Amino acid sequence: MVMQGNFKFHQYQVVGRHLPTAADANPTVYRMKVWAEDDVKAKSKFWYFLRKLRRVKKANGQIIACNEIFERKPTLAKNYGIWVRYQSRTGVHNMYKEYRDVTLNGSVSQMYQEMASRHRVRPSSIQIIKTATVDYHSCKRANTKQFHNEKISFPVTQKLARPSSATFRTLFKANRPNVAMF
Amino acid sequence: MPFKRYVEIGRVALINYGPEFGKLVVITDVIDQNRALVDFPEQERRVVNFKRLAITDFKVDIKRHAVKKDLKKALADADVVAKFAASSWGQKLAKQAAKAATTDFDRYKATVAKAKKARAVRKVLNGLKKTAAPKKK
Repeated sequence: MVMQGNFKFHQYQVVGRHLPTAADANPTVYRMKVWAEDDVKAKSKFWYFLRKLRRVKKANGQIIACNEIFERKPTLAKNYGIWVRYQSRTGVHNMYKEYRDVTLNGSVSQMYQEMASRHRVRPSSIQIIKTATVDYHSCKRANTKQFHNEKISFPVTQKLARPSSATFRTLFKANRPNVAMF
Repeated sequence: MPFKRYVEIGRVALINYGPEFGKLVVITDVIDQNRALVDFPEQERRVVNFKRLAITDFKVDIKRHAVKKDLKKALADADVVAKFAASSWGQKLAKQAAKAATTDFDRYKATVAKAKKARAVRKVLNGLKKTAAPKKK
C-alpha cells in the first residue's frame, strides 16, 4: 500500500459491515476515517471503534475496503480543528485543538506531539473524535488567529549558525559565530 | 538596534541548509511561528522551516498563496534575482561557487600568475630600493 509523506500516522478510510445473515441479508455498511501507522492497524482501529458503537465485531463482520486518504491540496496553508478524547491518569477528557498546517496528517501528528508534551498522553490513549478544516472567521485559538493577518510581519530573532549540510559539521570552531540578526 | 529584515508575505529568502542549499525563494504564507510556505518560478510551493531560511533585504509585492504567474510578474517587476546577484551577499555566493568550480589546472594557472606578478613587483621594488638607498662608502 502506498504511503504519502513522512508521517507517523496516516489517514485511512475503512469500510465494513456485519456479515449477511438469514435475518438481515443486506446489513448496514459503515465507513470510518481513522489514523494509523499502516492499513493493518487502521482495520484494527476500525473494529475497536465499531464494536463500541454498534453490535458488530471482527468475529461477525467483514472489511469491504481500506484506502489511504491523501491531502487534496498540500500546498495551501489551512486551519485544522481536531476534537479528541483522551484517557488521563485520573479520567477521560474531551478537548478541541486547532493547528495550522498544509496537511491534515501533519496537524494530527502535531496534536499527538502536543498531547504527549503538555499532558503526557500516549498515542494509544487518544481517540480522534472529529477533524475539520476551520474557516478563518470561525477559528477560536489566538495562536492560530495571529497568522491570519495578510500583513503579518515579525523578525527571526536569532540566526542558526550552521554549515550547509550535516556532513560539514565540526565540533570545534576557530571563532564564535555571530548570531545577531541586525 | 532595530531589526531590518522581517518575515512577511513576499519576502525573498535564501535556503541555507540541506539539498536545496543556495536556492532563492519567496515567502507566500506564514504557517506558524516556525514554518513558512515558500514558492519560486520553476519550483514547487512547499513548507520550509525558518531555521533553514536566511532572510534577505528584498521584498516583492504579492498576495498570500499567489499563483505562479503573479509571482513571476512580481519578481520580474522588482528585478529581484539580478539585484540579489549584484548585492555583496550575491557576489560573495557567486565567488564561492566560481572557486568551488575550479579544476586542479585552473588552480595551478592561478599560482603561476601570482608568482609572475610577484616577481614583476619585486623587480620594480628592488630597482626603487637601489635608487632610493644612500650609497655605502
